[in-house]
Amino acid sequence: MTSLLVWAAQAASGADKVGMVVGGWEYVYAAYIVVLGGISIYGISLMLRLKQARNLVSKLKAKTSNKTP
Amino acid sequence: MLNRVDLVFLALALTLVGVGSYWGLVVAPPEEFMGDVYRIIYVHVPSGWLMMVAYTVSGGASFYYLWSSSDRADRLAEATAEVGVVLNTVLLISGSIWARPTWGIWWTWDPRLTSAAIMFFMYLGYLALRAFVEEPEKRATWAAVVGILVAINVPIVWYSVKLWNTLHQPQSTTSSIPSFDMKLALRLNAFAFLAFLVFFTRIRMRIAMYLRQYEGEYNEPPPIQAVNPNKLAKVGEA
Repeated sequence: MTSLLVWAAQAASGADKVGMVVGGWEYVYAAYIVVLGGISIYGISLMLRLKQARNLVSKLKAKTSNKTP
Repeated sequence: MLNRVDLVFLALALTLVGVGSYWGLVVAPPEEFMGDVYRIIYVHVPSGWLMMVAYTVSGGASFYYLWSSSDRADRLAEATAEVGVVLNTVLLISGSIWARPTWGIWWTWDPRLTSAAIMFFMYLGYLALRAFVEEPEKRATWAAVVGILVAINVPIVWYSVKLWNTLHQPQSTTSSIPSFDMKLALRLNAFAFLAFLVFFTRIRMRIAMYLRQYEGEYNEPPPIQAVNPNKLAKVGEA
């Protein structure tokens, strides 16, 4: 009786094989958000750091050229 | 700020990751046993592959630095190690998310998971070492030695599923995947991540170059934490 119910539940959910994980889209979305979000955040942080480092060096260059007679 | 080559790699990465994610989420069929949860493989495995590429390049660049004292090699080792840590982070988190519906747990002290976590902390230590040593030459030499030592962990992680009994599935290669659409989704995302790796490495190396210029001029570590221009000006006057 139990196996019949399990079979019926699997058939209703579209899983045609015993032992197949059913659903779980929330885990899929979570993983994609973590990976793609993580990469995006790192990319943005790199751009900000690049801008900051460039500003630092251009300020230095301006200062050096002002000091030079 | 970005040159043409950077833009090409960025555009390539974004296009490939867009198409690859669409293929992985919509076109590719569910897997025989894991169902739709298997779709996590299309971001999890490329993260792992490219993390290993990044760490291997970092180890190779560290070795080359010790041989040549090339500043470019030092910057490459630093950049790829940092990008590797980012990929390692998303690898561990996405792996944990995948483990929950398939194994019923978020984490287990399995050889593959443990060795990947150890590698993450080793590379965090490597980056910390770079941050703490102020003298540029000493920092580069010490980091190169540590960079070679920590890179030894890369083959250990790769072969951990063969060397020990593990819950983790065997090494994922495109030949071990049954469906054409599954292979395509995995390949597209792998090439996307490769393009991201090249793009990030180029930008990170440029940041390192600017900071080295500052160090060369002032003989002191750059104020990396400084964000507002007034603070930068004060440091410049010192």
